[in-house]
Amino acid sequence: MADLERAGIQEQMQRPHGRYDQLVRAVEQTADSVVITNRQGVIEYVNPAFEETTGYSADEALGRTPRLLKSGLHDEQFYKELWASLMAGKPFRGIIINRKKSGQLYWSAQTISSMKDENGEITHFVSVLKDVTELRKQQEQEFHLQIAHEIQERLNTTVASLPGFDIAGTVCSATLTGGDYFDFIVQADGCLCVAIGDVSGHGFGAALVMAETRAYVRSYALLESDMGAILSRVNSALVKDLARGQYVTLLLARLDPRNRLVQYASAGHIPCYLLRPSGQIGHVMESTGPPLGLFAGSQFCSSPAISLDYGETLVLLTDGVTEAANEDEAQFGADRALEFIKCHLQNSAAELVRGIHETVRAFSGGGPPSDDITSVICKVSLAAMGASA
Amino acid sequence: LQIKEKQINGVSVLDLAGRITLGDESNQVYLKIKEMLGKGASQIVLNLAGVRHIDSAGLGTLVSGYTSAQNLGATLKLANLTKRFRELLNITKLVTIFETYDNVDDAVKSFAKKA
Repeated sequence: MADLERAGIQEQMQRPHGRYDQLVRAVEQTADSVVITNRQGVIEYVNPAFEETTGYSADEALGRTPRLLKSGLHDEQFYKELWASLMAGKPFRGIIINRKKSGQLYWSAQTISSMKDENGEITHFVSVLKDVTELRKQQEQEFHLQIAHEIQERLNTTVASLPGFDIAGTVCSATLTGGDYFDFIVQADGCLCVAIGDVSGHGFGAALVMAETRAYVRSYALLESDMGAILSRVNSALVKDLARGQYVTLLLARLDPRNRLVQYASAGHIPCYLLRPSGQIGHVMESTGPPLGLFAGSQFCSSPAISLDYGETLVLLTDGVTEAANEDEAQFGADRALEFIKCHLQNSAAELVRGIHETVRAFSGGGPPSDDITSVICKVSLAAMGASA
Repeated sequence: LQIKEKQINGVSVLDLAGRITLGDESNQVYLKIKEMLGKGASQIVLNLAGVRHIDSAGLGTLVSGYTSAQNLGATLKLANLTKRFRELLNITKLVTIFETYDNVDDAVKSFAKKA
């Protein structure tokens, strides 16, 4: 039965009128624009898709040349080469920027082939045009986002070396660019300023604010030794720049390697922790003021200096860790992160930040994260401190 | 997000239901607050009883609403906060900015006490 049907279709196709009708219907109904010109380039046929895409009716297009669509964005050499190729009997394939009747420019993936008669003489040209403007825009956006991503990756690969400490940080952005960040800045007196922050919202806008915040913190951390004073100055700068309702939570911790002290200030950031050598919580580093960028007059104070002992661990997180949710909408919470560290106290800081990230991802089902996941670990390393003592 | 407006003893109460998150929902809340302020409302209570989730952008919007009100000499208070949102206000220290109440009645009455 199938063979019989196929034979019937073939027979119909072979009948001159049947095949002609089918071809006409195909050209008339295809979504791509089809233009047929004579050898001189005068348009003899356009299909309905051409009318729809370009805004020119068949009546307006017939008798004119494809220069009708010329955008002026390709130079004469381009058209010269195109025609040379066509007259030599070779098809042209390429992307051409055309102009619609409305004046709007659009990208068109175009194939132009010559039609020949029985003597091999070129009689017509057939042009098939596909509007690829949306695709092109998407590609351009992805290209720029990729550049932004690479720049941000470089901002987030900072490493720190401080005598007596083993320090590491990691960021995993939910989108190609993110609003979380961490940084290590060596201050004039040899102390290390550790920053961890989270810009409200996600994506490209948050990434720009993150880059700005990072630049301010880097600058002020070289001018001010007090963490609270740095936050107050960064806040004043951000208040002027941020969009309505946008803000940054930021915790700055100052590690003093000589006196084995840590002092911090936190602008609305989630609690961070100092773990005893046993893994028990020794100190909770609560926020000391509102987030940055909201209130012009916000002033921030630093915590009293907290002395650090060998084997203690500073755990700095963003809410992408604590608020990561599983299928049942239970949150990962700080407890699970701290429990993980307690069970792996012998691991290096780099192993711990990697481990936290992997545990969070596994907890939330392994899918793409819904928020940026950032952690910084500073271990008071026994070996190094022993050597310097 | 659904917003219903009512008046109780001269106080404008906005019943919010749904999510206040990045994008349209946040804008909707902010525009509504601006609209109320534009109409001359000077005492506003946001009833968050029906709000399931507020993200960081939503919190930012509420702060903007608060600041806009303050700049016009008006006051914006919050009622019926979920446990999680209360925690978020605590963490960010914004609990020191907003006046918060366990229910709408208390929030409305608080205006009368001051007056």
